[in-house]
Amino acid sequence: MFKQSIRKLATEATSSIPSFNIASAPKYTLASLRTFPSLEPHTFVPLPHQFFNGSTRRDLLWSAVVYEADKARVGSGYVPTKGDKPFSNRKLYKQKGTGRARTGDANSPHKDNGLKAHGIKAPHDWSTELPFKIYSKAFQAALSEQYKNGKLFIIGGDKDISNEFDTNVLDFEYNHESVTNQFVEKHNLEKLNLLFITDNQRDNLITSTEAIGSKASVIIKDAVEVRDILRANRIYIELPALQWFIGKYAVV
Amino acid sequence: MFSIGQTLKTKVMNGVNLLTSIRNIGYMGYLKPNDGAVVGYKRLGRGQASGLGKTSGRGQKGQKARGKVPRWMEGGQTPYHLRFPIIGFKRPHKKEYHQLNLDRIQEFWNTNRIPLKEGGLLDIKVMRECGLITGSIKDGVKILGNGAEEYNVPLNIEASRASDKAIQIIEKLNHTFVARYFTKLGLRAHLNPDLFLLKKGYVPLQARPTHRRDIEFYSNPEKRGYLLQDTSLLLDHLKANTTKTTRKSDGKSALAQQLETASNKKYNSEVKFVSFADL
Repeated sequence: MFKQSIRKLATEATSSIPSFNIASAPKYTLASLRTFPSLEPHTFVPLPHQFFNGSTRRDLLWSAVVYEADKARVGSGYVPTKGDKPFSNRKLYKQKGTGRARTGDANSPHKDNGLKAHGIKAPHDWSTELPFKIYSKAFQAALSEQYKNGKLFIIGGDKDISNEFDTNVLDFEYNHESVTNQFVEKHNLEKLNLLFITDNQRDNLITSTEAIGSKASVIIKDAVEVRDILRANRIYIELPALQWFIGKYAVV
Repeated sequence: MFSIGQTLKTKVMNGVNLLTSIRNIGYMGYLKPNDGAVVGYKRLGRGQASGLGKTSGRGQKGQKARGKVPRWMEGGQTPYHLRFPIIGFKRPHKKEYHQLNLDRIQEFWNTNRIPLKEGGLLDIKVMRECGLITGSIKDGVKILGNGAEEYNVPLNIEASRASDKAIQIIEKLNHTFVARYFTKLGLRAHLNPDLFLLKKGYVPLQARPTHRRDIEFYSNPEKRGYLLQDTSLLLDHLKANTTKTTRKSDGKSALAQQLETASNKKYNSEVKFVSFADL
């Protein structure tokens, strides 16, 4: 009887969708907006499903991570070759009459002098190319994976908050190191990699998180890479930054 | 009963926590491409264990072992591309169009991929933005009539040209088709006016056709040419400026025509002698 009553609650499907699409996938996922640093949820917000409930494409993630790693290489490798001429141009000994093999100067790579016949020269560009669509899909997959495992916390909303120490902005009230330590202790974040993605520069957050060193990284939205998202155990992201990602990496 | 459910739930939740705590290990070490998606390059001449050592996979002795052979080489026989005489003529400036069939438009319309309402104008800009045509831009779009039987898209269409069948099908639904002329530059400006505005500060005017072939096509009512819609665009100018040019309609050369009018004297070839008085 309970089932029947629920069935009556179902509304009609819209006619704009063609009839052969019997069940269309959900287009939105509900995420809760939180305050910072208490992480208290206060509002639901609908977000496009491909960013938060998309498929985990391990191959796309690999492509994006390799692309970023290639791009990050400096290319300063330098191997000395004959052209660098570390020695004099003087012929080592005369052409004939010594009973030894003929020889030229000391710059030859066949000698034991550290020179190579062919060697890499700096600067060298190691960067590779990746279609933007694939990178975007990888970005979506990375966010989805973290969100599905409950490691993504969205800070924001325009709701007025009564508590003065709790804000809708991803920033601490003070820049003292103890603020970060309190935050870590309160939410059981010891030994976890934290990633704070901010919309703008947050000075208090940057200074305060120096307390836990490399365990926390504060990155402004446009510098965030797929690698950063995958490395983090907890991600705290501001809603405007997230919307910026959705705008930038939304592909069909 | 309720308490049993509660304890069961807590047990399940503990299991979930255990799973997620295992997943804290990280993702970076577990990423890899699909099988066969990445192919390494051949390392030649790196020892016999590699299988590509001594002769680097080139076999023994001969031209191919030492260097390159032209890909058209047939061992001394006259190669294919030199074997036959050149016949015919290829128009070097022939226009290459994207071919767009009606069934593709229908499919896009059915799946709500065309961002237009009923009676809207589907022009090349919309086609490109919604993915009806993809890839690098050609000279324009030609609408073709495949899938005419099921076609019922309530849109007016504007493209470079359309087949007779396609025009007939579109107009049977009381919608219009217009064939519009685009130059390469004009098409780029049509597709991406913002680019020109940012770069130059203006959008170039659409050029009118200059070749007689194009003028005739785009002022042809059967082809639904756009010049007929607004004759002030080109046809009025043409009508005002046309000077009567003699065209070789009768098959005589210009020299023959000139000679015809030069003198009306005819000589009787039967007369063997010509007197000075006749001249």
